[in-house]
Amino acid sequence: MNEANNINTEALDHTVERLCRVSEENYIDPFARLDWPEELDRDTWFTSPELISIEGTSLWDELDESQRKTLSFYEAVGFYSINIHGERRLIEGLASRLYRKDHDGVTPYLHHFLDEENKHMVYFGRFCTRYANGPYPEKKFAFVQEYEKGEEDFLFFAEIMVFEEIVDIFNRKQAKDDRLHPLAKEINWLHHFEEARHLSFGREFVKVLWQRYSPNWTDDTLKRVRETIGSFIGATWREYYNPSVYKDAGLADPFAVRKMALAHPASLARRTEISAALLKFLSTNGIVPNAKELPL
Amino acid sequence: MSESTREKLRAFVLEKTESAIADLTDQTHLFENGILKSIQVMDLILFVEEISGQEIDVEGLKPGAFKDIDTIMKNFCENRDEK
Ligand SMILES: [Fe+2]
Ligand SMILES: [Fe+2]
Repeated sequence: MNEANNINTEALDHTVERLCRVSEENYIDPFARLDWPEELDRDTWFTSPELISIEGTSLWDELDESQRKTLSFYEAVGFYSINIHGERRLIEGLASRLYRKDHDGVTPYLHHFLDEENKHMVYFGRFCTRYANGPYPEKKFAFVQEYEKGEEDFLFFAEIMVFEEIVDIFNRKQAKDDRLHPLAKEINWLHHFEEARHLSFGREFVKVLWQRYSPNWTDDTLKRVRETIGSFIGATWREYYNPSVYKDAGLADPFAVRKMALAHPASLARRTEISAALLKFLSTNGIVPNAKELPL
Repeated sequence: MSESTREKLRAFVLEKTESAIADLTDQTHLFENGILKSIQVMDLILFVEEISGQEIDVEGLKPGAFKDIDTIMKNFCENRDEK
């Protein structure tokens, strides 16, 4: 594949083959898999306390256990909403790339990717709709712009990778957390179980697209691509600090809470830790050489 | 009121922009002219919600809703404190 432009896609080809096989063998029916109680016992955790956006701040210290648990519920709804919107954009983009000639080799896997993301939206969506007032709306937008050859594709898959790498750290930690409500724990486990494959695919495909297109980009395009990834990472993180979540959890002055939490060293440390592997991938592969210096 | 909504909006744009603006007016096209990047729409929406005290219905948003400061004022901040 792609010998014409001398790119070694062997690793990607193997990954696609392996992931298709594993996806078929581990086909999950989200409808049968999860138990959906009529009502949730809310006197428990829905987000691991250490992952809650204001954890480590003095506001967190002031909350009693029941207020913290309430916040952990709305943070879960916020987290699931972020997933829903990311997955919605992903599905749109994947659908339009199916059977496109330049994606011939990966199309078999794109089918699984697409299918699995739809199933994720089913359980994230059902949780938000059944137990809260539906997902929080997305406020992140991208306008149509002009791209150089390969730029739009590269950015699409690179942004998906950013979104999924961050989400997956939350999933991985929470899938093992026995303090969580069983449904929340299971949702995190289930999502991680399938996302692990998306992450391997994402990394391999992003590397190939980078090698395929970036050598032909102008310096201006390179600069723009790097800036776009950097600001996307920042914006992705800022979505985790949602005033509507704080408001629903009963916190006073939700916008001030957001500003305070974003600026707090404890939450910066959390963002830094969670982003570490992603930033390392971006710098090691020359995609964003100074990724470690990006403002988070 | 010490600082009007409009002034807060101008200050926000000047704080967030990465381009050197010689003369930002209330009619300067914020996104078309690259004053703000589309990825910053989220921050702008949250800021407008904060200063206007009203949540913005993002599903009904038209692309031009944040064209310039005048348009933002008209769409989201009218009947609040003006000028
Ligand atoms: Fe997903
Ligand atoms: Fe995924």
